[in-house]
Amino acid sequence: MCARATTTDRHDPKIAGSRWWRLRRVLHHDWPAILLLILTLGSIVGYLEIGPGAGSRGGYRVIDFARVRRLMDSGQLSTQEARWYHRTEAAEEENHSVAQRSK
Amino acid sequence: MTDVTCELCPRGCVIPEGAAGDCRIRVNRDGRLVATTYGRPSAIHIDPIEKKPLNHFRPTTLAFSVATAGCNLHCLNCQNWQLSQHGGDEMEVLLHLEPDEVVRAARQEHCQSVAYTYSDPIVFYEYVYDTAERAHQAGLSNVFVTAGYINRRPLQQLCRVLDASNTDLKAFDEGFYERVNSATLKPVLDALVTQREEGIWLEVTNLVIPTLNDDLAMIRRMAKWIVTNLGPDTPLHFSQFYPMYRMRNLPPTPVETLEKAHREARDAGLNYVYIGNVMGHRYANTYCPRDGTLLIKRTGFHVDEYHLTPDGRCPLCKEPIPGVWQ
Repeated sequence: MCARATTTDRHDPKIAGSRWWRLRRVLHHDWPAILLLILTLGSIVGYLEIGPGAGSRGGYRVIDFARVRRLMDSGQLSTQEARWYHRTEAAEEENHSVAQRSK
Repeated sequence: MTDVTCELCPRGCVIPEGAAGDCRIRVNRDGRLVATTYGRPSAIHIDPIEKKPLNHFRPTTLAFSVATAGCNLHCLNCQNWQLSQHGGDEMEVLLHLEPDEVVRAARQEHCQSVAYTYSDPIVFYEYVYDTAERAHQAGLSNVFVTAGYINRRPLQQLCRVLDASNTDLKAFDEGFYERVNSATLKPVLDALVTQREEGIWLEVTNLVIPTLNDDLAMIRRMAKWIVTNLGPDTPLHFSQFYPMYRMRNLPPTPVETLEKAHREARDAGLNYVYIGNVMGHRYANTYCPRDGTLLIKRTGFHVDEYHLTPDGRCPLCKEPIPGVWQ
């Protein structure tokens, strides 16, 4: 976004060269860019706070599951069930179920 | 699609189907969390108990040491990274050794304990628990060598089948844990207190890394915390760092630094402070805190001299020395 000062501003001795002049210039001419910046930052914060990742404390690792499954099925890796976990339905499935019920 | 939330360690990984937890070995298969390395160790060794290190627990005995792939920490200086920073599917060696077989092998090799070690045994919790139960039934002890990054309830339950633990306290600084270990300090402190409360024999190891956690004021704070929360008789091992894995830019810890750390910890009130990884150092020995008598002389992991009375006292002043001496 191009920020160009008006001739009047530039030659006004009270404003020219001052910080206020620069700020006014930005506010007058670059407000769409500022608005876009605020909206972008707001979207990022909103996604982190209430998006699908919000509330989850830890991550996970993407693995070569086809290979791991093959090793489990052949007995090279164990299929022993772990302790200390609980199931959580994924958000997609919940949404899907809600959509089905509403039909 | 069913996600699972692992409640074993403070990471609390939320794992979608077909993925693994941060530890790499706990896998969500069809909405069921699977401990993929249960009964599939990748490292087995017979070690002197002094190697764990445990200096006050059944000295001179052997520990049948077991480890699987995976770890819930990612230390830049890990000395077993080939094991800890891979999943079970990435290991070249994948033995089949069910809990009963571990116990049988330990007895055949004349080991008095089974040690769960090398990588962090927290991540192969189920294998540890089942093996430890059977080991107890066979009259063997169970030794847990861990970084202590585990939730309270699983640890409490595990302590029922453990006898001794050497827990790493990597630094007394939250920032260090975040930068070097991808973890946090508070759960480790909680785990230390839990183990003390549950009554298993506990020793603490602090690996001193030049410029990163060798600040003497911090070491003093750590020692004071141990005195207050775990007791002055808790053995503390200061270990010498060697360049490893992703931390090859730093030199080995100078012995003088370890000696200064030793002095700080003793001044803070700890009765049994050791220097480890330094061959033949006098602070590898156990001395009576009351009269300074040499009680156990060690070279490396070998016990050269043993002067404790059968009931674990100083032979001169009869001061009881805390530990499991039988």
